[in-house]
Amino acid sequence: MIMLITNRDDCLANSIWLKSNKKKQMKKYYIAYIATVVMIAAGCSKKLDEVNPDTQVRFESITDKDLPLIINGAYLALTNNNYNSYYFLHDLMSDDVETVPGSVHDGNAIPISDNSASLNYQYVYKAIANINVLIQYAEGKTDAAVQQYYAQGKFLRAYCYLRLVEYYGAVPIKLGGESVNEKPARNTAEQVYEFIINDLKAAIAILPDFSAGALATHKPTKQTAQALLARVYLETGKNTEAKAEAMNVINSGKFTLDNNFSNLFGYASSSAENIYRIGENSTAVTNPANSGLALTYGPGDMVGNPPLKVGFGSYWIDSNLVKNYESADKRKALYAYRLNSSLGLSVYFATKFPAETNHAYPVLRLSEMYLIVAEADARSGTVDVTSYNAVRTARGASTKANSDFATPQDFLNEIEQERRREFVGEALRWQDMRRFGKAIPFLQSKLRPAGNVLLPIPEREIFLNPNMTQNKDY
Amino acid sequence: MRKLKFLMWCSALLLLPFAMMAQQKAIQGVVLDEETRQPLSGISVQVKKTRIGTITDVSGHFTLQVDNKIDPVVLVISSVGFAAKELTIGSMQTTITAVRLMKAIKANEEVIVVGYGSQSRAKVTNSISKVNANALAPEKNVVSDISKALQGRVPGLFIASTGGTPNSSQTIQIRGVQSAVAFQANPLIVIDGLIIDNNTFNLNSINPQDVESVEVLKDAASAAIYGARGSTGVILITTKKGRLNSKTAFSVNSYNGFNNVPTSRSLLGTDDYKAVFTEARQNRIKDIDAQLAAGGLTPAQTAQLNTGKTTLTNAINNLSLANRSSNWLERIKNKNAPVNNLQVSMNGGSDKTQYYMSLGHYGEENSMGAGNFDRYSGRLDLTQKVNKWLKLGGNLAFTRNISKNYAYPLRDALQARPDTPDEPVLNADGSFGYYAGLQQHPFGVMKDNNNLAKDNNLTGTITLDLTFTKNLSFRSLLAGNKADGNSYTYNSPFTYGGRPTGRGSVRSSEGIYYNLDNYFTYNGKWKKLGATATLGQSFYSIEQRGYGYDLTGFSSAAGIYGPGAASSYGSSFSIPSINSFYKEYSESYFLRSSFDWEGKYLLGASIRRDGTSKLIKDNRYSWFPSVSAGWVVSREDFFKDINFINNLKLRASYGQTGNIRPVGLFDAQNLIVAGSYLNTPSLLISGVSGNDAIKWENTTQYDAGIDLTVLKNRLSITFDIYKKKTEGLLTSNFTPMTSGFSSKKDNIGAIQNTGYEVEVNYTSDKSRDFHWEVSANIGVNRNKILSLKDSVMSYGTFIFGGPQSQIRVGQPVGSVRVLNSLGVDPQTGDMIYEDLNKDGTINANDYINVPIALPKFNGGFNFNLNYKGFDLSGLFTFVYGNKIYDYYEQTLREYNTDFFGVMPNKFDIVTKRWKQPGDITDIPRAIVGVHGPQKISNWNFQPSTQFIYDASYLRLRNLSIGYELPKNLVSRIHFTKARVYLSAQNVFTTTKYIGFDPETVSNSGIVSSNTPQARSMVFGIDFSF
Repeated sequence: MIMLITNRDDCLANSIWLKSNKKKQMKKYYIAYIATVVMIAAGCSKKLDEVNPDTQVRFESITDKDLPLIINGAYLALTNNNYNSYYFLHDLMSDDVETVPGSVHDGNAIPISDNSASLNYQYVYKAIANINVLIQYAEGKTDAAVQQYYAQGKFLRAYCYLRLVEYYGAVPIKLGGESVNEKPARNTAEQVYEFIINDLKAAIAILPDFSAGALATHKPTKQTAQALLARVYLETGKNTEAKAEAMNVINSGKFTLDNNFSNLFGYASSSAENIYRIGENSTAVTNPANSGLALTYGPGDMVGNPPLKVGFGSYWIDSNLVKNYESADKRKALYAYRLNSSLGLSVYFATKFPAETNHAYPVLRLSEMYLIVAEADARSGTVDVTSYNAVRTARGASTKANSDFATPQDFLNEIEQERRREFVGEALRWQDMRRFGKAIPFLQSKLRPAGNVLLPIPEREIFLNPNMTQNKDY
Repeated sequence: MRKLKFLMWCSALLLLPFAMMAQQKAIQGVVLDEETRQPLSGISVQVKKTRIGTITDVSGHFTLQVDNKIDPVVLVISSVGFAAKELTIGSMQTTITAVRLMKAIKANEEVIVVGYGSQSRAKVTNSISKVNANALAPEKNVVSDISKALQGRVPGLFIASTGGTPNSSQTIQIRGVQSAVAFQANPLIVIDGLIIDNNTFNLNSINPQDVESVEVLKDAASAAIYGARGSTGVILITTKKGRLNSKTAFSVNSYNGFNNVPTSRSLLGTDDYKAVFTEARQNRIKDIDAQLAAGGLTPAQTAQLNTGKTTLTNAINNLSLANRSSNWLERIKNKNAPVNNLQVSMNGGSDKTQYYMSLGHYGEENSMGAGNFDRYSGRLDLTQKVNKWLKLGGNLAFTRNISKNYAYPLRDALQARPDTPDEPVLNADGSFGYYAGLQQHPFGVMKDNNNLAKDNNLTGTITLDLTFTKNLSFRSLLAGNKADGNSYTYNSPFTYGGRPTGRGSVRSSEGIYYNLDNYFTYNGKWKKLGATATLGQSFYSIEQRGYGYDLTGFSSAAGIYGPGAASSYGSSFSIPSINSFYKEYSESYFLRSSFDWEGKYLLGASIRRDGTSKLIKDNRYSWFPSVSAGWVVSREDFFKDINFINNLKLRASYGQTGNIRPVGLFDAQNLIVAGSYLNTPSLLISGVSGNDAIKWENTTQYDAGIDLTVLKNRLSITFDIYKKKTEGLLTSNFTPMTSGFSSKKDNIGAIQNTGYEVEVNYTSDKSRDFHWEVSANIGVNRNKILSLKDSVMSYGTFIFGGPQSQIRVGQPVGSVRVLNSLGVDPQTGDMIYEDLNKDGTINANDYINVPIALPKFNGGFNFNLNYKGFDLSGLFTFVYGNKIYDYYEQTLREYNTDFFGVMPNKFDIVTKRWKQPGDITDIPRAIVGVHGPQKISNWNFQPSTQFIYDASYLRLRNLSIGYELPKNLVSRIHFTKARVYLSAQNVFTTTKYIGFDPETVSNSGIVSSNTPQARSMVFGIDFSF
C-alpha cells in the first residue's frame, strides 16, 4: 500500500502492479484492492493540469528573448515560403510582363478567381497580426534591445500596410488587441498612409544606422525606414519630403551604386547598393533552385535533364522594354531570348534573379533613392540630371545633360523609362504607372474597367466580414 | 390456435383410465422445439406456486410427482431463450405429450451490450440497434472496413465512403449531424471497453470477422453513460470470445475475387478535344470581331484586340495533335484487381476457460491507379474463472496495415491530352519527359514510386471481475491501444516529383491511448421489483507524437532508394508541421441505475461527470444526466388474450450528452507557435485564435419508441422518433483575414435534428425447407440551425475558386453558397445567373445558399432466402435528398490552357455545349478569355447551381449466393460445416448523378478528388471442424 501511494501519479503502472499482485491469490483482499483503485482514481484528476504544449508559447508567457523570433515569424507569415507567387502581382498587372494568351492572367488581369490575390491579402495581415503581438508586448518598455525589435516591428508593419494600400486601396487598420471576431470596415487610404508614415517615423527614431555585413540587408535599419518613407512620400505627392528622406539615405554614406548589376540579386549578395531585402527559404523539395522569382520569371526549359532551366516559362518581359536598353547597358544582358512553345514565338525572359535555394526579394535599392531625388525635383519643376546620371553611369549607359530635356515633363518621361529599365520584376512598375498616369489608359487599352487599378478584395473576406466592401469593378 | 390444439389434447386425455385415488400422481410429458420439432433438454418444468419442479432429460422427457391435493395443477414450462408456457392439467390427466416451446422473441432475450455492462433486450428502455456477426460475415461485405459493413443495416445510421481507394475513410453519422463540421460528427467507437476517440485510429485496423456484435447507441439515454463523448452517438464493438463448455472448433473462411471500377463518364477523344479547343478560341475571335465592328474604340484598344486575335489564331494553328486517342480514365484503371480475404479462427472453452484465436489477411489491389493494400490481423482472447469470486480476462489484437506503391493519377488522367502516347516520353538520361506542355504522363506518375506506408496497431484489454455476492460485483478494465504508423514516400530522380536528385520523405506517428475503468455493478430483485446499478470511474489518456523529415540527393542508380541512400536533408520549412505532440487526459465518474416492476414497468437513469484537459479549469467539468422509462404493455393482464401480439413495449428517454472533439488540444489559449524561418527559429501566431471561454457542447435528446413483435414473433417492428438539440455548438468560427487568424473555436449556436426511424423484420417459419427473412429500415432526419452567434458561419472545407460552404440559421448544415444558374442564354451561349439584389451586377452579393450535404432519408433493405442448403442474400442501400457539388466538372469547364501550358481534357458532357444561336442546352459555349455580360474570364464556370446534382441513389450493395453441404456428408470428413459462396459487392447503382459515384463525396457534399468505389466479385469457402 505504501508503495502504491508514493507512486500514485502513474495510473497505468499502478493498475498493472495491482493485477499481478492479485495473482498471489490472497484471500478476499479485494476490499483493499478497491480501496486502492479508488485512491488512484482520485489521484488522476491532477493529471488534467499537466497537459502543456511543447512547441507553443502562450501570449502571456512571451519574454524579451522571444522578440527576434516573433520578427522571424512575421517574415515567415509574409513570405509563407511562396512570396514569389504574390510579390510579382503588381508587375504582372503592368505593361512590363506578358503571359500566355488564354491563360488566367491573359491581358495582365488578376481575376477575382486567382488565389494569389487572396494570399497577398491574407498573409500580409497575418504578418501584421504577428507584429502586433510584439508591438503590444514592447509598447512602453524602455529596455534598449526590446526597443530595437519594437522598431523593427514598426518598420515591417509599415511595409505590410504599404503593400495593402498599394494593392487594395483603403483597408482596415489593425493595431493589435482587437477581438479576432472583429469585422472591421475600411479606413480611408489617407489614414492608412498616415499610419504608415507614423510607424516609419517611430522606427527611424529608434533603429541604428546600417552597418555592412553578411545578410545585413535582411534587417531593417534607420536608412531602411528612411528609404521606405521616401517612397511613401513620393507616392503621396509629398515631393520635398520624399527628396529629403532619399537624400538622407544617399548622404548616410552607407551605400554605393554597384557597377556590377548582376551582383545585386543573389541571396548572399554583399553589394553595397542593396538597402533592404526579404529572405526566404526554398520549399521546393525536388529542385530547390526551382523556386522564388527565378521560378516566376524563368524560361522553364524543362526538357533536357540535367541541368534544368528553372521557371514557369509563362511570364516574359515586354519586348519593347528589352529593346529600349542601349547595347552597352549592363542590364540588357540579364534577359534570355527563347522560344515559347504554346505561343510559337521567341520572347524575352528576365533572368536577373539567380536560381538558388534561398532567395532574397529586393525591396529597397540605392538606385531607387537616386531616381526619387530626380523625380521629386522634376515634379517640383526642376530638371536636375545628376542623380539620374549616377544610376546610368553605374549601369554602363549613356548620360544626359539638363539641356537635353526641354521641360520637367520630358525629364519625368525619361525617369519613368529609366525606372522601368532598372526595376523590372522588383514590384515597382504598377505604382509607377499609376503615378505617371499610365495605369488607367493601359487598362482601357485592355478593355478593362478603371477599378482594376486595384486588386479585388478576396471574396472569402467579403464572405467572412459583411462590413468589408469589394473594390470597384470586381 | 395453440389453445384449440391443447383443448383437443385434453379431451383425448380425459378418456384415459387412471388411478383417481392415489395420493400422488405422476405427470409425464415431452418438450419439443416448435421450430425444429427436436426434443429440448434442460427445460424447467415447475408446478406453479410450489417448489415442485424438474428439468427435461436429453430426450426432452420429464416426470413430475404431484400431490393430488393440488388442483388444478398448473405447469410452468420455461427456459432461457424460450417463451414460458403455462399448462393447466385436469385432475384426470397425467400425461402430456409434445409440449412445443416456441423460441422466445429473439430480440427479447437478446443481451444488449451497453456502456459499462450489458442489459437484457427486454429491459432496454433506450434506442439501441444491434448488428450480429452474421451480417458482418465476409461474403456479405466485401470490404476491409467494419463501418462499411454497417451500411444500410441500422436505421438512423448514415455511412458514406469518402473514396474508393483501399484504406480510405468513412463519414459516419448517427441521427444527423450535430456539429457544424461534419467529420467531427463521427460517433464514439468503443471496442470491448476500449475508447477510441481520436482521429488517427483507422477503422481498417479492426478485422470485421473478429467482431461478434455491433451495438449502435442512438438516443441520449444510452449514450449519456459516455457523457462527454456520447453526443454523436456510440458504436460499441464486441469481439468474439470462446464459449464455456464447448469443444474446440476451427473455422476457415476465405474468398478470392477481383475489383473493377465502373465509371459512368468519359473524357473527350482527340477529335472532340481539337474541336472544342478550336471552337473556344474561335468564339473569342468572333467576340473580338463583334467588338471591333461595334466601333468606338481607341487605337490602343483596337491594337490590343488585334493582338489578341493574332495570339488566338496562333494558338489554334499551333495545336498539333497526333493521330491517336486514348480515354485516360479507362487507361489508368487496374482491371480485375485482385481482392482476397482469409480468416482462420479457433474457439472453445472448458467450464472455467474461454478462448478465441484468429489470424486474418485481407488484400486488395488498387483498382484505379497502382498499389496494393494488405491487412494482417491476429487476435487472442482468453477468460479464466479463477475461483468463485474472481474472473480474469484479457485480449490482444494485432493489426498491420500495409499500403504499397500507391498512386492515383486521377487528376493527371483527367487533364492528359487524349493524344498522349501510351508510354511516357523519356529524356536522354532516362527521366520522364513531357508530351504536351508540362503535363505529367499518367503512367509516369504510377511508375517508379516506392511508396510504403505501414500502420501497426496493437489493442488489448485486461479485465478483472470480482463477485462479492450474488448481486454485487466489481470490474476493473484496462484497455489500451498502441498505434504506430510510418511511411516512406520516394520519387526517384527520373520521376516528375523527384527530379533531378530524387526525393524521399519519412513520416512517423506513434500514439498510445488507454482507458482505465473501475465500476461496481449491483443486480438485485425483491419480489416483483428488479434493480440494477452501476457506479464507477474512468480515466482516459491520449498521447500522440508525429515526427519525420524530408530527404534529397539520391543516386539515380537502380535499386538504391532507401532513406539511408539520401545525401542531404530537405527543406527545414516543414519541420514544425511534421513534428508534433498531442496529449489529452480526461476523467469521469458515472452512476447508472434501473428498476423494473415485474418486467413490466421499466425505469432507468444515469448521470456522469466528465472533465477534460482541453478546457481551462473553470469550464473543465460538466454533468450529463439521463432518464428513460418503458412499459411492456404485452405483459399486462389485459393483454393476455391478444395472442397475435407477442411483445409490445413503449419506451421514452431523455438525456444530455457532450462533445469536446471539435476543440483542439490548446484551443483555449492564445498561442504563438515555433517554426523555422531561414533555418533560424521563429514564432508565429497559431492559425487558431485562443478562446478560454469555450465550454462543452451539450446535446439534449428526447426519444420515444415502440417495439412490437407479432405473428408468432415472426414480424418485429421498431419505431423511434427523436428530437435532438445541440447547444453550445462547438466549431471553428472562421475569422476575417484581417485578424491574422484563420479561425477561432467557439460555442457558436444551436442545432436541431429531428427524425424518426423504422425497422421491420420478418422471419418465415424456419422449420420449412424454404425459409426466408427480410428486413428493411429507414431513417428520416431533418437538420436545422436554430441559432448562431453570427447570422452565417462558414463550414467544411474551403476550396479556393469552388463553392464556399456555410451554415445559416433556419437551414441545415452543409450548404454551399453559389450563384443561382438560370441556364444558358440561347442567343449568346453564356450562362445566365439570377441577379438577386437586382443591382444589375452578378457578384458575391447574389449568392444563394443551397443545402446539399445531408440526405432527407436513408436506409437499407436486405433479404435472406434459404432452401435446403442454398442461401441467397442481398442488401440494398439507399440515400435520398442530398446533393453533390461537382467541383471536378467546374474546374474542367475552363477552356484556357492551365499551369502546364495545355488545355486540360474535358468530360464528354461538353459535346452537348451551345454551338450556335438558338441552341437550347444546359452546357454553355466553349470560350477562352473574358466573356459573358460582365466580361469576366470565369463567367461560364463560376460556382453556381449548374454544378449541383441530385445525389440520391439506390445501390445493390451486396448479393451473395451460398451452398452449404449436407450435414451428414460433411460429418463423414469430420467437418461440422462446409459452405461455398459467390458474392458481389456494389452490384449496381441507380442514380441521377452523372459523375463517378454518388456516395464517395467529401462530407461537405463537394466532390473534388474522390475516387469511385470498386465493384467486387468473389468466390469463397467457409468451413468448420
